Amino acid sequence: MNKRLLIAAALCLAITQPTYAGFAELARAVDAQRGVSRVWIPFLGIARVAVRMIEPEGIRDFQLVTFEGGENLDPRELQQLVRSKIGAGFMPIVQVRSKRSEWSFVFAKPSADGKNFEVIVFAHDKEDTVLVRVEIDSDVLARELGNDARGVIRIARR
Amino acid sequence: MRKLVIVLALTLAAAIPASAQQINMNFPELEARAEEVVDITLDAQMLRMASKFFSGRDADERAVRDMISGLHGIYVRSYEFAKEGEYDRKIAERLKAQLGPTWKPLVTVRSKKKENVNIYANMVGDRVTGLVIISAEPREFTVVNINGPIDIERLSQLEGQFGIPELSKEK
Repeated sequence: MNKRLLIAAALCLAITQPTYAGFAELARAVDAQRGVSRVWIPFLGIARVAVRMIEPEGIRDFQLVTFEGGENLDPRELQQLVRSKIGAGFMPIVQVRSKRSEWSFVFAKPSADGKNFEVIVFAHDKEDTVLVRVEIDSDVLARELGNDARGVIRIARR
Repeated sequence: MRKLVIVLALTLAAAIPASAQQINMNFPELEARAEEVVDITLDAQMLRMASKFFSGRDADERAVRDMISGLHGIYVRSYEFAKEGEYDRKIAERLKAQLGPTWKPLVTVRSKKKENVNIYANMVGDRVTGLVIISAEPREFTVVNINGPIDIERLSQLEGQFGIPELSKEK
């Protein structure tokens, strides 16, 4: 009984956890593009609850949406779409566009106190599109990376 | 009165720090032809955030942290082409023409078949307050603009990071 109750509570939590409005709107806008269809990832909500509870290496929250199709999408139009829906304060930090229909856009937004920051990654290739939002506690992440000698340099070089 | 306004406007214009000089790094003609375009924009706020991730224990990381926390921005534009000769390498000249009289050439490498590299520093007195790196290869054109006070001796620490090419390793 307790086990069932626990599973039910976890599912309720997964369903009722707050969604970041800008991200949901962005996901809907991408989904509305011709030839694009959203792919359901089972148990993702539960994984999100776990991340919010454990906050591994300073990751406070994440959202992930994947799409199939969209090989005829225009990168410029999509870039404009992402910019218009992403919400205030996000800065485009990395944009990669390729004629091979592979694009990646990375947007970041530090919080006002500089303690947290959010990163939204939009990656597209001929077959699928991935949209990820990650909210990170920068102090914890810095501490975690500081434990690993030259960790940041290694990551920055990737 | 009108003269006073003009003098005031000229004084204000002269007082704008040279480091704040905006360099137009948009090249729509390259973007249209390039096979791959990479655009990296890190403003002061993002750099301050990034500097937190460099620990103070390691001397290399400390050097990078100190440098990037004082910078106003790092901007990288890189265009890769499918074939050689798909872009006019004179575009580098147009970029150089934007640089004002305070910009001095630091490094110039010329090659007809390989890459041309030009590094310009914005000198305010003895201080370097900005850097522009232009790398024109037969199939790739890259521009890096580092805006803010730069310790040239520490600059090599930034190579290979934030999209800045590893110039010292290139032939």
